Amino acid sequence: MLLDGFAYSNRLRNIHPGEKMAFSLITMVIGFFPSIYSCGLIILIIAAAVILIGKVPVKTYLRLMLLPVFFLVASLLPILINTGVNPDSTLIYFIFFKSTIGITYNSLIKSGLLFMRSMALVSCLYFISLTTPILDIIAVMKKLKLPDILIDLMFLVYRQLFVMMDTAESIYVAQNARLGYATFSSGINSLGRLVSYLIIKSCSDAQRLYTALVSRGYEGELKVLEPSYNTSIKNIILIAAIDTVLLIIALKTGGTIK
Amino acid sequence: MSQYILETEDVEYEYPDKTRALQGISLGIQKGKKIVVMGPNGAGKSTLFLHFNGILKPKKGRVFFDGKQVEYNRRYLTQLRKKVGIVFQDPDTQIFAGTVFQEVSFGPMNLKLEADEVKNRVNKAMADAGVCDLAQKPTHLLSYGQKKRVCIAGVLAMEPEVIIFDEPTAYLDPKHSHILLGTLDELHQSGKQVIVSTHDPDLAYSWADYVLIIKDGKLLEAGSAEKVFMDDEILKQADLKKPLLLEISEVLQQKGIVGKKYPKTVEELKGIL
Repeated sequence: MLLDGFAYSNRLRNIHPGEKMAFSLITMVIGFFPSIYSCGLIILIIAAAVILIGKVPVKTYLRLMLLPVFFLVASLLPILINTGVNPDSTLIYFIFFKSTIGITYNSLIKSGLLFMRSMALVSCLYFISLTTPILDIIAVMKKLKLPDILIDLMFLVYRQLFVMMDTAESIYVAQNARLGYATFSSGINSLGRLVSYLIIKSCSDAQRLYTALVSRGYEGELKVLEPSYNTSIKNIILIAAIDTVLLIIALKTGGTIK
Repeated sequence: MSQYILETEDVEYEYPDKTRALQGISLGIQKGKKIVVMGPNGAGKSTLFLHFNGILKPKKGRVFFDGKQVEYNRRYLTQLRKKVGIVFQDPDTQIFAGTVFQEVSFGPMNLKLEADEVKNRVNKAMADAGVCDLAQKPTHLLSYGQKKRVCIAGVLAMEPEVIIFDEPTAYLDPKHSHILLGTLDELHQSGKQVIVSTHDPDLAYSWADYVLIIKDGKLLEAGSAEKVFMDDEILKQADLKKPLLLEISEVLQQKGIVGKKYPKTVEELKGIL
């Protein structure tokens, strides 16, 4: 929900969502090339765009980037540290019973590259989620002629998420005020009631929402006027330029791993 | 042309769970009058409103719009819903879109208007409801009062002839209630038929030209605000309190301080005194 707030308040909000999504997706594809330089550049460019132009606080951005790092480190360890390595080609090793465990030059490069690639791709995702509200993404998907049912569902789910969260929160507060979460067992009990009430409430709310929609002429299609954004030639050229440079770097320096 | 914009004749309605919400209700909504519908919870007010725009079909009896009987085919209902708009009580169960602009554009889009016309209507409706500055705001970040006004804008954008407000001042703070009443007056002055349901006798007395009291799915009483609220027997049956201003002026009359006058606002009362 933190991301959602920035998506609305950041300075890149009014740029055509199609341009932002194109930038993010193309850059993401370039991020797949195994080059430490292009990946590093992607991380830097996006950080600069989000922090300097989008005005997302540095602290927030760093904290967000730190989230995947924890998962990444955990999954990189087995790649980084190998058993049965040949002591001659090993940077650091120790002998554990009769097998050698250590980090080889190769495994260091491999995991470093994987780390950079993952972070580059995560940056691309954060770029979209921090600068583009879901509704703009849905609008672009609509333009791309994705199935209506999918788009309508996304549209409704997005709004209802917040309605449901509000309801859940007020029920939680009301339960808590009556010591519903005082002990572990009463907490489990209260949580169960909360969830079952949410389901019932959602059903009756859905019925009411349907009535309200029909009252305004709903006939099976959720049509709203999408906000119009101006396409900017300048932005498109900028995106093309950045991605071309990244691609050249990626192709020139990529493939260091066999 | 009928003198009634909306009329029901012996309308009965029963929900699937056997709740008999309307039990032969006959009433008429006079054109050009400010109408208030009152009645205890569960009296059938909301059910009645859903008959006015054809969401519900009476089990027995007939509903008329502008003198003509309501037909329950798609074409007629589309036309009817274009003319009769309802602002429901809970904004969270009628706002479905992510931004205010999208939400308000839903109605006019369903009228199959051109994009430019939709835009004009949305902007005008947002101006009338006082939510212009919220146009691109996500709906989940709005306050309750703002959501309420967005709902009103959503109905206004369809430019209906009749607008029904189901308990519009519920949960609103006094300031926003006051602003909302101002909006209702403006709508009335611009020639719209405004129908309001409320539990607040003071509001009903000072705002309404004509009051309908419903109880147990039947019409208990209908008439001018003075007439209805002076009938102690009716008020007792409907569990309603007498409006404060009316009570005061009755006491003043008994004491011979003022003549037979019924001020509708505090200002009017001060003027008489």
